[in-house]
Amino acid sequence: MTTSIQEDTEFHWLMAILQTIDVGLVVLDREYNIKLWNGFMENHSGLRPDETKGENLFKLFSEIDKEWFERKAEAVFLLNTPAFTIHEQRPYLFKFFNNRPITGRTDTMYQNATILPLNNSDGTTDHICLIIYDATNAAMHKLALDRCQSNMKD
Amino acid sequence: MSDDITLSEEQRDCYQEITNVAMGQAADRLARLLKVYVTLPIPNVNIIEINEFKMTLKALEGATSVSAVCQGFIGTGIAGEALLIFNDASFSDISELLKYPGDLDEHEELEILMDVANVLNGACIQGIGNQLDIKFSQSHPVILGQHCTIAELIEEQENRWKRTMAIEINYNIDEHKINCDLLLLFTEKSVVHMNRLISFLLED
Repeated sequence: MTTSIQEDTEFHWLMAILQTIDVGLVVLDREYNIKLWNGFMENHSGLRPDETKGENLFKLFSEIDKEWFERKAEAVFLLNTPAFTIHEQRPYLFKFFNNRPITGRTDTMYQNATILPLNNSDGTTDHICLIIYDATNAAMHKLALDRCQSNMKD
Repeated sequence: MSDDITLSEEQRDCYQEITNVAMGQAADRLARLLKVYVTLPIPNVNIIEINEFKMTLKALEGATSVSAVCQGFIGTGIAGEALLIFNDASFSDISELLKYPGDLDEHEELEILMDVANVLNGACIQGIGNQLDIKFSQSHPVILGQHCTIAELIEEQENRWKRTMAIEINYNIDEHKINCDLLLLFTEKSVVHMNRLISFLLED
């Protein structure tokens, strides 16, 4: 009895952590409909989970290049291995505002993203998880460094 | 610690076989995804010295026709890095393979390079992990020379390790003129752990 209470408590902890962690989590099905939308995504997009659940990703976020994203995601579904995007090559997936709107020096949030396969119990993959990392600080430092280097060359 | 890293003939065969099976699975899935036939040779399992690795890196430095992407992977007790070296890679061949349409700007070129590397690395790493019952997590890929300078990298290698196990696989996609080497490098500690894992496979 006590172990099940313990497990319940741990489950609630995990849920609270997923909800508040400073990383975006989105679960998508085979048709790219949104199945899960955590607190980070809610806060930055301004859309509540009940507004996004079941909705198509590309309809809600026109900034995502559908063809490009599908090409990446199909590999994840089929190969069952993660795929990545990094801010140096593609500044963002979702057009979110910077976490620090006043002193942040850039309007949009730079993002790194991982697309993770979620296995069914039989090993097949019908869902993928998008993990969005805020890479704005790293990107700003890198841009500052590049500026500094090009100044030195002049 | 580093002196412990030796491979018996039996262990070497075992790693070779594990990689072989993983590559077979990888080639099957790649064929279905990319609709191409991937030629696979027998993988090479070797203990490499740090100097040999430095020479590999040096060869990459300054070469314009060679690109390399590295990606870390980590699972319970085992960590390493996959280094994918494209020999004379032309972006038009790669983009054709991945079905990216039209002309590409510099960023898109690097992106498809990372995509190809990630697909080839991932397919192989997961295959090896499956057989050893380890779920590896992969990190974001990094392009050598683009995201970090190779000269710094060579310097930093000094004194960090002496010799370790490397699995080398040569991928060939004839139709698209793509030839690349996948180098799986494991940390010294991982080799000790992996030797223990495969000892269960070697027992009769």
